[in-house]
Amino acid sequence: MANKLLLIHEKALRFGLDLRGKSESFRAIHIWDDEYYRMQKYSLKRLVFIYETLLELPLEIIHGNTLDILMEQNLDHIVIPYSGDEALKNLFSEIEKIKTVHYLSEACFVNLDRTVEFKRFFKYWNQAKKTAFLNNGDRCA
Amino acid sequence: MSVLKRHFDNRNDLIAYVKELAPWAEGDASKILGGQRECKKRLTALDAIKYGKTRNYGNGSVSMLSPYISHGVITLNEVRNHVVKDSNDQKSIETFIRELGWRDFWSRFAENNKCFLWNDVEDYKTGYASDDYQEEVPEDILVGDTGIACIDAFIGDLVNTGYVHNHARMYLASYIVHFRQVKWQAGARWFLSHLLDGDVASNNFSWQWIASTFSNKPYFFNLENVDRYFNGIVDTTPSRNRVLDASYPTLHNRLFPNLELQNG
Ligand SMILES: Cc1cc2nc3c(=O)[nH]c(=O)nc-3n(C[C@H](O)[C@H](O)[C@H](O)COP(=O)(O)OP(=O)(O)OC[C@H]3O[C@@H](n4cnc5c(N)ncnc54)[C@H](O)[C@@H]3O)c2cc1C
Repeated sequence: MANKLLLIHEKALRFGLDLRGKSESFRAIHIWDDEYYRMQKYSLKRLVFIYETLLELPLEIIHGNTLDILMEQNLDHIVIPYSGDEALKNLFSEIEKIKTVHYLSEACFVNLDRTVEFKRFFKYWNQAKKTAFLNNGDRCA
Repeated sequence: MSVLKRHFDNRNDLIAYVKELAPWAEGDASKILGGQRECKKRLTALDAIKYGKTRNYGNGSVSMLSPYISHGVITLNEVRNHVVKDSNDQKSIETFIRELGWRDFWSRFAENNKCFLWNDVEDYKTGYASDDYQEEVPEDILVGDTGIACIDAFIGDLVNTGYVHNHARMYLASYIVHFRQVKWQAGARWFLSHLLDGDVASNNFSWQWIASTFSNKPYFFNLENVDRYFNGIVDTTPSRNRVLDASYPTLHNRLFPNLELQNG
């Protein structure tokens, strides 16, 4: 029996998601949330692309409002692949009000402190290129 | 709450199903396919060395991975790992890896500067203030009927497939902001409503880069440049692209009359 719920959103449509090696079992779902998609003003092109990609993933596609559906689930812990996308971040904060959320972070691209700010690309690249050519970006700190 | 269908006889049935789920969604489906398998195909076909030499050309060896990267089907890390594993010459793959870096750069900047996603990072460096620009994208652009053959062709790509070559995105954004004096925000919103890879950080900061609100000068182009990179792909006949058919100094003086004049 699954004891954690993995919520796959439209910015993390992939298998694996760093779950390998984790002992818990997961039930994976995608919530097809009309209101959310409508607010993003996604075109039919994009919605078809998303649905087509979902069909290759081992998950259930559930139709309805994200918060209502999560509320109905018995599982307290929800695992969500993190995304820096603003609309998703807003949704994540709403979910945090009703469930305990554990975020899966995406493997990094380069070994650079995310809080250091570069206002021009060349300044970023001067630092980034030190690990950008390494497998796994030298496993990024 | 209901569980949605996972099996379809063919793609048309899938498209009809999604249309029923989202009757409000505009347009038709793209011919670009979603899915991990399709993404893998593109990754396998990627030639990062050839990319470095041809990426600016309309028929260059670009990866077309962006819709998959934007939806997390594949990560920047995985794409990079795939490219570096086959290479023992960093120089030859540098252009490709650096382009991946642009996406990382924009996303980092967005994370720390949410307020700039929809606001000017800096002032325009065009001799105009933000208020001088129109709020909406004009109708002739929305419907791809500007009368400029190459621009209308690029708009066709955007609207029909949701994918536009990077160089063509630059031309379109520059045309909208500098030739038509439209706020970058309006153009960015329009792009996001069509692009399969639509990503607020990469999109909006790229628009700001073109507009000059997140770069040192405005990006503009002329017909000669389009002809050099897209000859045979779009119609670059001068009579069908008159507005763009001028030298750089002439266009500079026309588009930015408040800046120092350039001689040509
Ligand atoms: C006005 C404008 C709007 C844009 N909007 C978006 C957008 O919404 N989403 C988006 O992903 N990209 C955007 N870009 C960046 C770039 O045009 C696309 O990422 C690229 O054209 C996608 O095609 P490709 O996968 O064949 O790229 P390739 O040239 O093969 O590059 C490989 C990957 O590197 C990344 N990349 C390459 N160039 C850039 C760049 N300049 N900025 C950021 N990432 C880059 C992308 O993830 C891309 O898939 C925009 C550029 C401009 C000028």
